[in-house]
Amino acid sequence: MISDSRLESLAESAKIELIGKDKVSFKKDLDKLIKSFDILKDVETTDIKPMINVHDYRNVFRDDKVENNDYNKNQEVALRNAPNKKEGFILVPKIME
Amino acid sequence: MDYAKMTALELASKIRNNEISAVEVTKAQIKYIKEQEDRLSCFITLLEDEGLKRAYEVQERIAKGDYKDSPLAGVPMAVKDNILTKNIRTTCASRMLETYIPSYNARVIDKLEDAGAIILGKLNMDEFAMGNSSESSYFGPTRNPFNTDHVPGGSSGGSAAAVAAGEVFYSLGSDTGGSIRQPSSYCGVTGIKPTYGTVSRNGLIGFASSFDQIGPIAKNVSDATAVLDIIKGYDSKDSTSIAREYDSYTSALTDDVRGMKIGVPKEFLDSPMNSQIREQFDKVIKVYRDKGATVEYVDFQTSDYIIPTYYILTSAEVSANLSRFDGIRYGYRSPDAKNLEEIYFKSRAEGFGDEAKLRILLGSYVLSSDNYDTYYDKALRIRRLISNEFDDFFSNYDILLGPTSLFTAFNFNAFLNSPVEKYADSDNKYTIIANLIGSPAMSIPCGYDEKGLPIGMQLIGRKFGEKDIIRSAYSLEKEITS
Amino acid sequence: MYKYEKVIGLEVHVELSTKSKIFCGCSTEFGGRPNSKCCPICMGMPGTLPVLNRRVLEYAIATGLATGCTIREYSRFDRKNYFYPDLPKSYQTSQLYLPICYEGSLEIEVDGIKKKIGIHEIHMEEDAGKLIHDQDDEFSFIDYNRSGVPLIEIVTKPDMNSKEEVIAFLEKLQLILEYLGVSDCKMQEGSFRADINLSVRKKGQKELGTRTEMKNINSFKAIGRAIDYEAKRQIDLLEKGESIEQETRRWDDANGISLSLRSKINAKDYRYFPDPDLPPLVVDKDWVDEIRKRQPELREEKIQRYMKEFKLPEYDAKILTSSKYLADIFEKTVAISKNPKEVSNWIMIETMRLMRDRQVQVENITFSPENLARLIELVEAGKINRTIAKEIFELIFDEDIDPEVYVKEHQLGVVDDRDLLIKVVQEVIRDFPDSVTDYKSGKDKAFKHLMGQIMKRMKGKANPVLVNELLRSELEEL
Repeated sequence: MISDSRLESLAESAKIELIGKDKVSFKKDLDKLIKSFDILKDVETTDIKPMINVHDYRNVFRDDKVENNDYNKNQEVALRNAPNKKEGFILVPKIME
Repeated sequence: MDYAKMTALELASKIRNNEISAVEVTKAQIKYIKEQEDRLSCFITLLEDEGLKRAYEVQERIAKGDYKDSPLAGVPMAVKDNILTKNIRTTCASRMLETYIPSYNARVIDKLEDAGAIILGKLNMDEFAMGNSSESSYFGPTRNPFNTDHVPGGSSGGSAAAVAAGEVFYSLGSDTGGSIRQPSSYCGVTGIKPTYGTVSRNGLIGFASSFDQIGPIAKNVSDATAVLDIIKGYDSKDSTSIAREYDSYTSALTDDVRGMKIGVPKEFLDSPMNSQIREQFDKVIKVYRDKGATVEYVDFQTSDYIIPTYYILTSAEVSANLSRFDGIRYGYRSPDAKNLEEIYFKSRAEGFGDEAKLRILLGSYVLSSDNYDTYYDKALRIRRLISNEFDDFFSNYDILLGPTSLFTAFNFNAFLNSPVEKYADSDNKYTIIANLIGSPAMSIPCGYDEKGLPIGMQLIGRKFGEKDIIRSAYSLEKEITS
Repeated sequence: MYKYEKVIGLEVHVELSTKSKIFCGCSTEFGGRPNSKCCPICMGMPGTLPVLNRRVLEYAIATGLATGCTIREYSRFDRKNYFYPDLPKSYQTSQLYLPICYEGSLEIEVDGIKKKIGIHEIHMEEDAGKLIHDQDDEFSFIDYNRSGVPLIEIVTKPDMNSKEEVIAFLEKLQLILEYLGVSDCKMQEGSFRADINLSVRKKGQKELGTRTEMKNINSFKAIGRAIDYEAKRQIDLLEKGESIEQETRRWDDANGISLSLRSKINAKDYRYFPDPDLPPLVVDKDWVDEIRKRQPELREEKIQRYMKEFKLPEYDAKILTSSKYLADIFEKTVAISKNPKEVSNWIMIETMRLMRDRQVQVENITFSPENLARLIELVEAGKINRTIAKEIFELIFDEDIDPEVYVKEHQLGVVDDRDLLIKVVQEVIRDFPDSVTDYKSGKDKAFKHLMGQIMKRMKGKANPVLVNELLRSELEEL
């Protein structure tokens, strides 16, 4: 069972503002989903290695070369989708450190 | 000439032989799409001008003798809206990316363009590819062409419906837990999820990185195979792309399944499924046996772990993959945000739909340091456990066979008040399994239920076993269509 | 104060000097217009995927080998999740669970006492963009040029107990990195950043106190000040019976204080998990051996070699190797001139003098070893004398002139012409009869005076040995 404060801290870490009824329905859904994970708890996995990728990948590299692309040829392309920009920078409200 | 009913390969052949012009077809398709869209809503963005312009280009080149080695040149198609198209907005059916314009093509788009494809638009989907009905699209749902009160499935609902309705001759979808196969099944078309790593993910807006693959949806096995041939291949810009000999899959289009070993999960014997689906399924088993394949029932010890493992791992991966949508560099930024924190909290609250938010929260939960071992790390190990069991299976069998979905397309809002039930009921663990282990899988249409809604059968192969699933699908298709 | 000891560990972030970024082909060059060295990958645009720059891994392994670390055979990248505008994907690709190197150490020497400082681990990660807060009242500006620049992070064990030890460690580390050629280690430019983890405990106490982390320290002097301040701050709190809060603090050098960054950064759960977009790294023994063979000669080895091969005293060897740049100039010049002692003198004396006078940093020296070698040859062959040589060297240092050409053009060559010199000697003897008389009566100083006058008239170009001989013989005859 997820507590209110746990849900709040999850929303905080995911940077999603939850309002009123959201909290209730998300809590319900999360609880159901998390409960469905219980079946995994008792599975014996001590000698089983985690599987992050489905193939046995290893050592995929690129060479240390500079490549040109549309962004570094044209700063406007890089900033095209920015909601707020000025003089080549992307802007956010002033951050007080 | 009535080419609307032609397959993509048939149409391409006629275009190559100068019996039809690609421009004429494109014009007619665009007209038809505009007529259908009120009813179906398959498209988020229709590329009327660009599509026509492109048709002229391609036609000119075909006339000059170009595209000799491109069996689908000149054929109009469309692409799921989570695949980047240069200078054409790509939205993932989300408010978050409603106006996002990419500056480059996904690798698969470049490959299709090199093969003379004519892209008519971007297709509707569940928001950020999470869902199985396309109802979570910010732009409204797509409707099933067979019965518009029913969903087309998801998350590649638009991709399947557009082909089923004849708006395009084939499409691209993406599949993370069945998102190509289930809508293909619901819409009576053929869809393939390739072996993980054989189609580049460069330019696919990521959902769950170690599960996602782009794949074709088409009118039949031959068409789907031809499209897969075009889009497959190594890409150095995708670190999970597999470098190997990629020869053509079309050699597998033979009606010969003699000696093939087919396994069916025993669970299907008593799992609740639509009765027409069961009927069809039994027929399919008989067809294979009659054609010389062996079909046996197999027990899987780990099958109950499939769905929870899938949810833990995919929600973890997607929670991180969606973090970049923060209103800073691109995408939706809440107009009410008065400071940095509000930009984050409000943009993400307003930009994402409920399903996306739920999965992000779930992902954050399973990755929290106090839960990491219990859930995420555990699920990683169980993924290997399940994988081992299925590796064993595929060392004894060539194909895992089953219905793509236990049900046909459900009604809109059938699960409105219980979204989690929606998954519990209609999630087929034997669809999700293909993404969990990286196997190739295909859904082909196989009859209808009493309401006239399509039924689909699914074939899963061992990793890199595309030819096996294509061959067995082709053979089955031959039987069904005869 | 004296009943406490400081316990200090460091997290050093080093920008690697690869040509391109860690996961994309953008240039890592410093400067330039904002957002002009970016691409969709390092700006975190949707649909992008990382591909690892092999050289980053090689540099990380080289650093691990040079610091006695074990190279992990199987390692991976992990995602460190948090939100900040300079972090484009809202996760930093780093290594938590399986860093590439672990368990190394560096030996430092402070006041003659040697001490081993343990290195816990070294891992690879990507840098974030740059935030600028002082350009505007309403907005902060973001520049992603730096986003994706490769970093290695070196995490030490809390083995240091004083600012001297910290500085000795950092200086030694810098030199190693410079010698390896993996970074230019410029603290002021941000390519070498040290975060300080400091706690205090009563002398003799086994347990560690609560530590704080200090960031934003931009020079060695500032490090010293920060350590002194923070230790005192903690001790004061403890003496008052208060407890130390485990937190990150920002060092404000202008005001000489550390400030609490009492933001969410402190209680952070970064939800690390292995990055599924990046395959694991498998570094087998053969590969490590290959990199080990390619390791450039490090300082300690050079010192030994200079002593053995060039027969230089340890003191000289240490100075010549105090910077890789200096060592490079030395070795290149020796390779041409084959006179290590001579080269060593020119570098240790004249070069370093001019560096001081002209305020030139060693990495900005522009003269070529070829020209220094030519100068040395001219002196060895007796073609110019040392006084002239020193003057010419200044021109070599400033403008890298070719001394042979210069000597010819300005006729600075030593004058060996006996006839010409005899005339001048005789002139001077005639012009300074008093000095002659003094010399005759045994005053050696007078000889020097006459020599001086002759050299003056010859504008310093006369061969002094010859002049000496001629002067003596002329005086003899009087």
